[in-house]
Amino acid sequence: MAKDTANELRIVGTRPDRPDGLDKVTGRARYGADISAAGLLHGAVVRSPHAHARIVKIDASKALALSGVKAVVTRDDFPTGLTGEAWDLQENTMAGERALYDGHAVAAVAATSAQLARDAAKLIEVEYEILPHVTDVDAAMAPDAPIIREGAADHSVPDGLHPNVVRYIEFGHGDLEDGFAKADIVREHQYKTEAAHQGYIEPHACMGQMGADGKGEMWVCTQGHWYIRKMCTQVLGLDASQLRVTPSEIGGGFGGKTTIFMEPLSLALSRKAGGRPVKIVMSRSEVLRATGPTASASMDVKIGMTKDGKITAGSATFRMQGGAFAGAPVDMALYCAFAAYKVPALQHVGYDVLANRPKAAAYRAPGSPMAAFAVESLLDEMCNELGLDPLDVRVKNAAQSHETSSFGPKFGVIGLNETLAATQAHPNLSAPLGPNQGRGIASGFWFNHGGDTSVSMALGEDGTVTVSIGTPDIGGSRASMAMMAAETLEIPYDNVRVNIVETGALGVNEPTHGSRATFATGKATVEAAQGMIVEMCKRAAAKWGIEPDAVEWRDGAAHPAGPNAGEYPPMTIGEIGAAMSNTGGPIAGHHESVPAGVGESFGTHVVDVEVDPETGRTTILRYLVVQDAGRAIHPAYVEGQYQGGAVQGIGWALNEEYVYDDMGRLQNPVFLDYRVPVASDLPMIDTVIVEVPNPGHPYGVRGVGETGIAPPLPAVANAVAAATGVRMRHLPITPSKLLAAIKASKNG
Amino acid sequence: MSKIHITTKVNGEEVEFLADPRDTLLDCLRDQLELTGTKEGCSTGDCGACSVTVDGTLVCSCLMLGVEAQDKQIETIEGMAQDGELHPLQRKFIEHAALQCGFCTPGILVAAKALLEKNPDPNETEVRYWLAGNLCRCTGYDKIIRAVMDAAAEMRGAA
Amino acid sequence: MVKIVLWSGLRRFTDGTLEFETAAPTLGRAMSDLVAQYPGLGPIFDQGVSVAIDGDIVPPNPAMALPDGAEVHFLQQMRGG
Repeated sequence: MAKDTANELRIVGTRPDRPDGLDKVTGRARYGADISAAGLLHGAVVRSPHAHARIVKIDASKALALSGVKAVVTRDDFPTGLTGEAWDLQENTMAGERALYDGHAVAAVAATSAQLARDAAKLIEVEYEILPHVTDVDAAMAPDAPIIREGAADHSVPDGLHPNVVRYIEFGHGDLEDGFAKADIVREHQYKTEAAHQGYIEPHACMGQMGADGKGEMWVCTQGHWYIRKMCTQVLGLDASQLRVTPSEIGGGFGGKTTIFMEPLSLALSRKAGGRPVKIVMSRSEVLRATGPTASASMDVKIGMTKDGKITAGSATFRMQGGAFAGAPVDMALYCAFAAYKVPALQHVGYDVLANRPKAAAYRAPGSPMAAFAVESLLDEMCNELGLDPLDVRVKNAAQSHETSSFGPKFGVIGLNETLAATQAHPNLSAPLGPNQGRGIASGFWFNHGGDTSVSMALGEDGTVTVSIGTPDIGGSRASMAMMAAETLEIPYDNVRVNIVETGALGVNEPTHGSRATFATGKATVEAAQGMIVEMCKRAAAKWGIEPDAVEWRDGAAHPAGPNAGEYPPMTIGEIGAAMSNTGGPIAGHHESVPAGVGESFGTHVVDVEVDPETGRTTILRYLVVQDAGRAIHPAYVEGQYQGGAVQGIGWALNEEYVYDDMGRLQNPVFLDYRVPVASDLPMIDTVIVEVPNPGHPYGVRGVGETGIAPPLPAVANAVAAATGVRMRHLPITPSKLLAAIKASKNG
Repeated sequence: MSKIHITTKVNGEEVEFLADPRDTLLDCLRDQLELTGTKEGCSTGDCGACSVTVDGTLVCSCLMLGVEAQDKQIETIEGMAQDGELHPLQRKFIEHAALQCGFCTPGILVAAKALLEKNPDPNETEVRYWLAGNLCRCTGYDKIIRAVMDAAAEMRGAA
Repeated sequence: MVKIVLWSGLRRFTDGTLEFETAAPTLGRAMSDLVAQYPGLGPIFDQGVSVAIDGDIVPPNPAMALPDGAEVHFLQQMRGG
């Protein structure tokens, strides 16, 4: 039984150095592009410059004539007959009959150098017949919108909607009409957010090798190498077990590296080039044009509230486009929309809409930030109108442990109240505000996730321990696993080495996504360690000639359990390891499961801004993140997640958006124009880790990575409203838009 | 196009390589010299992941051609630790958990070292503006700034 | 007995009823019983649903035993995570 009181823990909750720190500060750590191999070829991808076009002809003869060009692949090199999500992945990997967005891959070439591959790609001639396109989500639902795919709607979609509507969500409870009737004020508004990219600094990169026999190897930066294996083999019609995928270190993902983009192309090119390894590294503009940004959203929210701040009813209708394929996170957005509140009557309706944009991928709490922007903004507007304190209103309506959630089931143990209380008590709330300055507050939520987990652990002959896990380390999780293993085994942290192993070495693992690694891999690590402890106690029992249940594990050694067991000196883990060949063989623990007991994480943020009335520029003066971590295994990495999520949210609120021209071409595919926050934009980010332990994890862990990106969108908008008196309902709040709105409000 | 033979000094050592005239210094460091610590994040000089110093000046190696490296003194992340001892900046980054994925870390360390060589006592604003050309998407910069200022303080104390 | 709660968007396939008591021993049996009663639910269930048992979101394993007294919520499949 793992310890669960803070004062019993020796390692969990401390801040040791991360085991991969040395490699990462010296440049030794190897990321996706940091690999080479004998006979290496380089791949380049030909991409559609049109948002929507029929592909009439592809002529690669000039490219193939170049010396050093070894292979060209088109959709003809892929198997046919896929359906459902596998078909979507294949169609996105390489266009079939039509290019569906600016940047859609139509052909790929492998050559002996990267320069040559790029030259060859330019020589591949593609003839297009341009078709009408649509990029805006509301326009894509209109009766006259160009149809992106016939018959793509699933069974959820009622009759009468445009074919671009591929999924329909509807859920709620209570009597909405009655709820609104009971309100003193009922307000409704439309809120919009634009597509943003996860913005990881490392572009996608892989090296794939595949022989004519369908056996392959891949090195790739990814959040989930089993997903890469599954998706590549589906798309190429291969057996999963014959493709071995090794994850490199990963330079950021945030959800965008949980799926495939160009990876199958490296394998297809390799096979065509006689099995030579093919390396493909995306350029930044390819990343922005042709990987998976998040959805843009058009949202209608209506809330009823009494004069003293009780929410009586709420409705949310969200329309989201996830590119040319189903998958906009409108379901999750609606599940999160009112999750922080106890509301007697709620109705949620959602539309997942196709548009001529790249296939959306997950981006940190997918859907939650958009929903938070809409609901938390409207609540703020209503609190202002009624002269109520927004924190008091949140406390008054806060979702409670063990009570029905807004999305249906009852919550388990949740920590929303505690985050609100911690926020109310924080000194940032009493920082004085000057002219053109304002404060905004918002709360946010994420489910977190369990998912397929497989871990193994082995004892060394010297008593040190190796842990094999399947979740790539994006933010320090190796350290957390080592800490949990060392805590459970009661051995020093430095005696544990954690390795992230390739797909051949463990059962299936879901990616490092859904804020699941510390929870799920951690829980499995603890289970595997407990399995090892049982075996080690058995070895000691056998040596002492007593029953195994008369042996207990303590301080890294087996001890007789109580005075009746007999008097034997403890056997340390090192002694057990040294003797193991002769006492029964290798000692290892392992655990496979889909762990239950996932703990949700609520957060509340407070931001102070100053708006320059001459330029419309918003400066963040102060930022506070208060979030429930359940238990912080390594507090510095929890703080890091809070701060990182907040800053991505600030970027999304103030600057980041996908800009398309009237031809449907992305106008800002470089970091100069897709403007993410830089160091000089920001102050220090204050954090408070609230700990309401999750009973579903041996150390109380809740996932923390995602919740933090939801509150900043509304918190910043609320602060801007407080600073200027102008309510911005369409993100991002760029200086030019804000200035125009300020001017209009003065004139209007 | 035939390649050009380049001789230069990298991290204090004489090296030579063959550069395609279109290769950037970044390409040559990574592919010809196998110094993969310097990263490519954007190839348009916007992210700073490719930061190196050339004759003491901080540059984006993606904005310089490999052939321009002839007879220069180039310092990369691989040269930051001396004789197996980490630079105070490197130590402080580990101590402060100033990295999450670590991809921007080499560029930021090179840039921060260049700052402290120029200005050993920068205030927070000066550090933030100096590092504004180094994008980090994971950390929100808070712990990076703290690590740089703590390293600067230690270096001043030791001086 | 186990209480099953469907999401309200399924009203158009059932006769408006959203809550059911079942003695079915497994999730799969409970679902096939519902489809037998309301065939319109068939294609929806085949597409995949998310399931929460007493608040815990779990993989929809048809062989999963339904604990007596549990409250089982069916949610439109959470895909966007």
